[in-house]
Amino acid sequence: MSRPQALVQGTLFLLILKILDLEPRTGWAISQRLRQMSNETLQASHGSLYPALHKLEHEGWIKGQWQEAPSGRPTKVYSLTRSGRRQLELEMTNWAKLSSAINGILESA
Amino acid sequence: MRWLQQLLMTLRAVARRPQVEREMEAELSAHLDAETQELIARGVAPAEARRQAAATMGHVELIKEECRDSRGTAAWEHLKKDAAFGVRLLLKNRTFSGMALVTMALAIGSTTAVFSIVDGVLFRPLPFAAPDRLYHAADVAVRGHVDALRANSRLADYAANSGVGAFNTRGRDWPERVKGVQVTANFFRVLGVGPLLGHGFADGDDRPGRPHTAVISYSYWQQQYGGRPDIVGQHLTLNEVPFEILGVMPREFGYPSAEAAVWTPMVFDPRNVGDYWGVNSCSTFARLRDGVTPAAARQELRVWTDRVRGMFPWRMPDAWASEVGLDGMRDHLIAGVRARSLLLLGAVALVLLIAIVNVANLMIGQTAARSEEFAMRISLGASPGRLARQLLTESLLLAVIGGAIGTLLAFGQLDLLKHWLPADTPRLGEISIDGSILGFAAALSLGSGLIFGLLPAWRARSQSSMVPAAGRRSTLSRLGLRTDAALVTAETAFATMLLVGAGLLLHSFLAMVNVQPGYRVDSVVTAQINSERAVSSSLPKTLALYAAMREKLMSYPGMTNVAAMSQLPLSNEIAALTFAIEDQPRPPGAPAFVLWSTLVTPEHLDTLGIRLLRGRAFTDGDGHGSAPVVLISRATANRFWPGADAVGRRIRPVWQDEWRTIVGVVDDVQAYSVKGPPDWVDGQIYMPLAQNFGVPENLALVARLGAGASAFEQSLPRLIHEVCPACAVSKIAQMQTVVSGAVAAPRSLAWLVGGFALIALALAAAGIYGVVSHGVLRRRREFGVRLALGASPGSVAWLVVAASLRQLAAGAVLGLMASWVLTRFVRSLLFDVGGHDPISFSLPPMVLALVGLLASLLPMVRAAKIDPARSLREG
Repeated sequence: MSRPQALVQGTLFLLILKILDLEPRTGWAISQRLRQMSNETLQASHGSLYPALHKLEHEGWIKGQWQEAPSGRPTKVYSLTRSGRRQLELEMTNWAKLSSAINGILESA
Repeated sequence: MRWLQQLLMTLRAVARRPQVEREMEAELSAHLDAETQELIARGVAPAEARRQAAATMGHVELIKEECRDSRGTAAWEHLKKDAAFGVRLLLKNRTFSGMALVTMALAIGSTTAVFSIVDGVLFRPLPFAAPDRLYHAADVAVRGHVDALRANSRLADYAANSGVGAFNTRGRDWPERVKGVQVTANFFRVLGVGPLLGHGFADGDDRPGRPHTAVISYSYWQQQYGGRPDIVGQHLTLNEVPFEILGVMPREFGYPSAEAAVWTPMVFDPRNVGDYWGVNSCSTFARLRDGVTPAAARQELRVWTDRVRGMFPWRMPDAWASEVGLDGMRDHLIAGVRARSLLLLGAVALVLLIAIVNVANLMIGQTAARSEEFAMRISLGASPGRLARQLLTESLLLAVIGGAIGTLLAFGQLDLLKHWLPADTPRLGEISIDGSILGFAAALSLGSGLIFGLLPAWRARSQSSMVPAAGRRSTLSRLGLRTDAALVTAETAFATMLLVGAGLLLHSFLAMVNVQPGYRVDSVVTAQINSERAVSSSLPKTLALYAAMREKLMSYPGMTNVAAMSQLPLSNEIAALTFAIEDQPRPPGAPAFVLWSTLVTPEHLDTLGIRLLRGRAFTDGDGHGSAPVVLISRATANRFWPGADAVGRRIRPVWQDEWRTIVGVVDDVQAYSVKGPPDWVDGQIYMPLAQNFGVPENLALVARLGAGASAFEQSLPRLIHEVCPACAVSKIAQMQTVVSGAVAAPRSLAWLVGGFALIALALAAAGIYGVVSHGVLRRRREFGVRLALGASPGSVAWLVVAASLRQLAAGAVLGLMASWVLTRFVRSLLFDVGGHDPISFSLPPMVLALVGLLASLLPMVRAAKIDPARSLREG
């Protein structure tokens, strides 16, 4: 319902996986990173990130672990699992194919 | 493996819901805090920071809902909410839920009980090893035939048993009767059932000259021997001969009948030509060897049967063994009850259908009453699918609760049914409600719930009244009206079918009861006497014994007459012999005439009140040494000598040379069953007991008294034992009981189906009332408008009645049409009533029309009394 508007369905998963590929992060850190990486273009309601995280966790691609934050309160830190890494490679390949195909169409048209 | 992991996560989310919810809460608030801190660090004021953080976060509850969706627990959450809501609703609308639950419980209970019977009788595998390899060998009845197959078949193992007979055994004071079956030595092995204790018969135990051995049933072991463990090797006296007990069968074994207490070897002695070739004593079955097809075994059976024909010591008629073949053992065993079991299942299925229609009806009524609630929910954002799901959950809830109550009911109903069904229903004792039946009940409940839930749910989705209406509608949608009409029509059609079926069975049963048996049934007591050899080893001894018993019984106060016969009336025992008729020669190869033959004493006609139509009755002078005589029945006389006098003609049993002269013609009686003799019987005759050659196996006593038959029944054994301490007395009964017992099966079927028809009628009446009164309620604005515009109350009432009548008529016509087609399945159960019996087809529509009109009466009056002003104001 309220997915980030600019994101093609499914690309949010790709981006989350990509972000987590670098290092484990909390939900909030992921949303920060999303904003930074996209030069603030992908700014949607942060809340919509969480259903996606839960979905990815449910699929077994990422794993959430409760850790103590520097502030002392527990936070949930997500990291990529092995099958998540495979999924990331798969989606990146798919994305590359898709975007080159679309680029091809756009340039030739 | 991923699906497993996902399932585990979903399960964790469901099972540890509070923790998962807490974690979600913590995670989201951590995000808010971090975002707020970030904004504060960028210089935003704390309060403003929190507001901005919350704004970028979005709607927390919605996020949570989406997270639950992601984890696959949303469906579960909805179900729980809907169910909780449904329960509240059921508790709120007590009348509605009460009616729906009672209807469902009754229907599910009855269906489950009947299904458990039908399943146990028709569908369960037989309690033998690899039962699908067992085949009944039809028309293989002579020992010589069985022996040839046993010795020569390469494709199957043949075994045989006799019918259930009885032996005299030693009782405490007098001989008693014990039911027994004679079997081939390989009987247990071919069935694949071993004894619980000891062992079965060894090969060759069924040859002449072997020691007498027996295997006993579990219940006989318990009753007679208290289940003592050292029973094997003990002796049991059968017809005064000691038999060594070889073994005890398991409790559940009861083939060919649950009544069998003793199995003994059947003796195959080719030197005893009469027994070996002349008596149809075997019920034969075969177990196909591995890899053998039934077709191949049938072919082999036919080939060997042709060879056996040539082995007979005399020429067999061409029709002999013409129906030889192999049928599945179970099909053979249930052939007699298949039709009535399926009929019962059909009847109860119709009741279930009517119940489902009724509850669907009630649900639709509920939905209509809740249209404002639904409209409100739709405007608050609920999708029509969500509403449909809610309705479906409610109906499933109803079905599950109703089904659970119904299943409890089914236990009681099963006991009732078992009590009601004729005792000869095969495997009745094995039937119980077990796991698979419970599964059936659960599936039935859920299935019904789906049906009566989908209908209103579908209506809720498609009905425009669900959408927040701009104004109130004055008339019903066409769709709504059509659904209601369809429900009433369906209900009427189902009820019509049941009523027609019940009518046919009841009519047939009455026809059977009204059959004049041809003899007196009041104040007549019958009993069977089996005496020890010492007192009845010859015909003169038997006659002397009978004379003593007759003298004793005649001295009983109120005794009118006493007679003896070779067979009790209506005993369903075959007593047919083959005869030659002097002036009716048969071509070679044609079968001889089969005549139902009863040996009687001279008092027989008077005692049973059978009318002598022509000639004379037997006298004490008709004995050995005097000319052999015979009496024939009226139908027999008409068949062989139509329009001529039968007295003076001569007949003889085919194995005797001496002709017997017909001295009289007597009225027809039902000797075998109320449906008359089997169709292969050509006639009925009586011969004097005193002119018989051997001693009849059983002696049936018939006594007629002025009054006090019940008291006489009580003292009969004592009276007989005073004369003959070596006599076993069994089957003591009043003739009335025997006659009513003979129609037990059709009676129980007629009453059961009749009972279901009554339930159906009551449900249909309730359903029609519900639909009509709901219709009136919902059309009251329309009726108000009509009345306001000048319509008379009568014409408004007529609108209601006309609609009901149309639907009733349509349902009745459909039901009659379906019944017309379906009666061919019950025709085999009918006696003296055609499948398209006019009474059974004309009464149900009238009954339904009457009931339907009565059910519409109250709503009709209500419609006529509508106050236009009020109805228009309230809408």
